[in-house]
Amino acid sequence: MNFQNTWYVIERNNRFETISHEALGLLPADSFVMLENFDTHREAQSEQMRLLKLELEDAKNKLNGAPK
Amino acid sequence: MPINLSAKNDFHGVWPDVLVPLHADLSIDEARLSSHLRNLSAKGVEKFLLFGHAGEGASFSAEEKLSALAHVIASGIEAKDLLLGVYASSFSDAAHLIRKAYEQGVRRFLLSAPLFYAHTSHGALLDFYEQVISRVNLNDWQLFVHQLGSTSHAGDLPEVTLTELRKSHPTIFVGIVDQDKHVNHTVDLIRSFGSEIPIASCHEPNLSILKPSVCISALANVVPNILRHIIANDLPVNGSQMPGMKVVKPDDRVVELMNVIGEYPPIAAMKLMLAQHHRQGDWEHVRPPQAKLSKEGREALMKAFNTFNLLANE
Repeated sequence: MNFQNTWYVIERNNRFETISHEALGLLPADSFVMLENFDTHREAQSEQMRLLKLELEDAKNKLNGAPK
Repeated sequence: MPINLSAKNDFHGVWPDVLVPLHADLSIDEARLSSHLRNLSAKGVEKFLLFGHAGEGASFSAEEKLSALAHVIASGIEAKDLLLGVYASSFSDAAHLIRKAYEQGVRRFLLSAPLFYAHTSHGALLDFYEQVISRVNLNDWQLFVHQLGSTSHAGDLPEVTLTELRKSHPTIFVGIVDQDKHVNHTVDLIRSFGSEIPIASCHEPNLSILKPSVCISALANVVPNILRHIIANDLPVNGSQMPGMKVVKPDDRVVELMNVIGEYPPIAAMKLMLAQHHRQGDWEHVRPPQAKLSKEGREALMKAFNTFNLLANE
């Protein structure tokens, strides 16, 4: 597969990021966890948003003492 | 377009035994399957076993497999990079699936001994494969025999059958995939056939002993780079190397991960890991007769997987 113009959702320093293939190549190999690859920036951002919402829900549940 | 097939040269490296994501109704989630292959590709794995042992291959119909195959190929995965699991007790079903998948560009097929009847004779097993090959009636395709060993009552093709098959169809029968976890089982196959055809082991802890050039790996769904390093026999992937500290080698991580899975149903356990990694709960579905995880087992496994701490470059 050619990943040249694709986008990645990664986790780095406990944060989710959307990053281009080119920019990903510049990161040190052990500095991030690659979660998912997408054709378009929009798809990647939508996944990033979904993950952020889940994190927010988890945080809210923890604050309210509810089980995960 | 003709596809140049050379099993000896081309069947190498890590072939993940791809886990198959399902919808809640237990149909194949084709979009997520394509996305999973794409993610593995982005991590450097380019060849895949679809509908193998971990891919619950015996649990899907030919139509389901062909539809998923079409989706995967349309998403950009090349058909030449796929090995398709064909499991059938009927030679006509097996030949039908192979021919249809061939039309989509797939050239490599994995076929075990027929799954229904036990204690079949050497001659009868040979006849089964002869029937499949004659009904496929094509030249440029490759058959890999799946030796299920102790993982299935279907068991193995006897050595004499493999020898006969190899003699009659040297350009078609070009490799063996060994599902058995006992290293001696694989060693015996390597002794008998390893000089002629590739033998791929599926049991990851055996890889550091066997040092093969190819493996079929279910764990590669979760930790593809660890498997790549084991097969390449190169440096540890764990970044936390400190003076005086033990360096964690890739095969140590495999053992750790196998310990995490422990006695849990392995396919459900690995799917849970992917569900946790991608935060996509649907990954947890398995198709009967695969066993699900109990509630307690699921919680314990999630904790163990957190402790395993999947690293960035694994």
